[in-house]
Amino acid sequence: MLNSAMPYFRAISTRLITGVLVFLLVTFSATALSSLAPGSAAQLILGDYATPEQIAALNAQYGYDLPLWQRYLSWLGDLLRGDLGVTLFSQQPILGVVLERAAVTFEIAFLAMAVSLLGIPIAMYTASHPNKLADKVMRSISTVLLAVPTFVIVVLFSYLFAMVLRWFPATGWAKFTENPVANLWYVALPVLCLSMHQTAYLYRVARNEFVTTLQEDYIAVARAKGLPLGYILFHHALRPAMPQILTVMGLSLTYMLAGSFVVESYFAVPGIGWTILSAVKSHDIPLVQAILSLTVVIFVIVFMLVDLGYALIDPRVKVS
Amino acid sequence: MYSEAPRPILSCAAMTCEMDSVSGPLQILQDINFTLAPRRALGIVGESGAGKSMLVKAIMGIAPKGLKTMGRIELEGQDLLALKPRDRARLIGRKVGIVFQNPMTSLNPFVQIGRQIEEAGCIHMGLSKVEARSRAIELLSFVGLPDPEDCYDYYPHQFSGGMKQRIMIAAALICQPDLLIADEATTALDVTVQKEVLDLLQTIQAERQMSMILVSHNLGVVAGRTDEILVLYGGNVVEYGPTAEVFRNPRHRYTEALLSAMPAMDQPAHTRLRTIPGQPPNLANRPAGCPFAPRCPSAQAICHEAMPPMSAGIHPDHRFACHFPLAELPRQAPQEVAHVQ
Repeated sequence: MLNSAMPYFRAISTRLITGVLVFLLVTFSATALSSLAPGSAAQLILGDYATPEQIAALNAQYGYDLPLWQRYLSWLGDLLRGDLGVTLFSQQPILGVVLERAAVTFEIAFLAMAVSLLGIPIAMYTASHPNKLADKVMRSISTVLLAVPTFVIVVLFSYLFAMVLRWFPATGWAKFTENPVANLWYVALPVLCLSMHQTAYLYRVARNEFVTTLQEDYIAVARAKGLPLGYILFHHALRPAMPQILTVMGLSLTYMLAGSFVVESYFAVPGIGWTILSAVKSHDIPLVQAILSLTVVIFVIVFMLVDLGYALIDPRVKVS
Repeated sequence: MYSEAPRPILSCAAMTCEMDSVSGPLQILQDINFTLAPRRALGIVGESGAGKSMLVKAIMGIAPKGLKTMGRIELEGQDLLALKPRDRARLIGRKVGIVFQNPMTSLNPFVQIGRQIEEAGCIHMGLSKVEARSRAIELLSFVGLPDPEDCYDYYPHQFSGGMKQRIMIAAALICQPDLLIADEATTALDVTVQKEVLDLLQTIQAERQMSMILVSHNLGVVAGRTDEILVLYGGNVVEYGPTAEVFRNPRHRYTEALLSAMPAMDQPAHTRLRTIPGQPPNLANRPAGCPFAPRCPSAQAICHEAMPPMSAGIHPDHRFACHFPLAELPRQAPQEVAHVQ
């Protein structure tokens, strides 16, 4: 048991090491961003009417007058201590704010992911009945969904479901920990809007994968054995099609976990996307940097899981 | 030998396959007739594009979409074309085992081979997990895989081509079929492995008292291993009869040309091999008469105009479709044909 798990430990640790390197590179660039801004960072944060005293005070507090490498090291030190300071304006602890907002975005992202998984069984069915009515209908629907931008979907859905049908509220928020039912009610529309593109995309990729897989010789063999279609689809076609589907799922998930600006701002959902948007607007550089770091961590972890997924799915892939 | 007439395992009567194309329907197979008695082996030979694989696929019901099959195909008296596709697939899966050409792509690389061997048994015969496993392991050792217990859990990429083909054979045998079809089963293997696998097929056929269809472009493969032989050319049966008889005394000009294109062991080294000039017929543009006429050295005017009917030789089961067949040799007592390969 331990022997068979060993390659996985090694694979995870090598991935983590590369992940740490990527993390350092991106967070360093994020620190460097404040130096790249015109004027000084303090000037940028305080605006055009700041007095030299205010600028000096801010520089002293955040260390913006220090050289880049020193600033970066002290930021790393803060991160390791688990204290990234407070946000510039509301003066709340950054780490707490980011984690709270991330939880909201994660909830929406995972729910939207779960909804988009519906694309896979639909793809299975239409791929095994190519050019039949269901296939043609689903192809048209997915094309339309992919062609319509999210901001249009958001407006249409909130009009339809919140204004006309009055099923879900258009805006608002309740914490899951305080009122789970209300939370799910508020979350429904954002999840639906966010999942539309993902479902359509996942459907198209999965359908093409299944069509290709169903042309393989081993599928002809399975048919010659007289195995029922459902059995062939689930036992012979699903796993070969999975690596490609998993790749798309990983990309979708990272995209959604990083926070959807459009959906979150439209429905006033207090998630990462909404937060980073307002942080950028208010020049809250420490907050922006914290969110960027979190995004990197998410990407590294999701891609690592996808890589491990390949190894679990395909017996020919050696974990290394 | 031919006096008794047991119910045939498989028979095709006036079987024709058509496929739509941009230039109208293509006749892939025309008027195929043959019967296969229990425990006998049939060889189907022809060059690429003659319709061998399509014939097998049409019988199995796994032909590509758009292929229309007409006529009558009977499996143990059951008219296959009259069955619903699902029932037909189940019947064939239960009664017929098939081994395909390319063992490299015929096994699902994502599924353990034990599972691939036993699945048809679980579905068609309701074998339990334990029964299926023990039967699969038994078959693995029967087809000659070392350590069958361990092999059960392996994936296809852990085996060589010859081993994979043995696994395919084991999978074809799980439902104890009455008919085994080997569709170019050894073409993708190297020559020594080819012989091993062919010998294995022959042993299995004898031991399990099955019927067998050996499809090959290689006359040597079918020579000593089949009772009857069906020669396909351009989607038509050009000659059909007992293997020994057809090899001894081919009547159709195409069969004769094929036979003389085979290298013979008693020729001196570096003897030029005989070839058949020209190309197989283009199905979209079929000649009106005999499909072989454009390449036939003995073709006369009528060969280009009228399709020759099937005629019988002295041997009642030996048939051929040729206007000007080769001379009939005096009849001999039936004898064993040596392995040509």
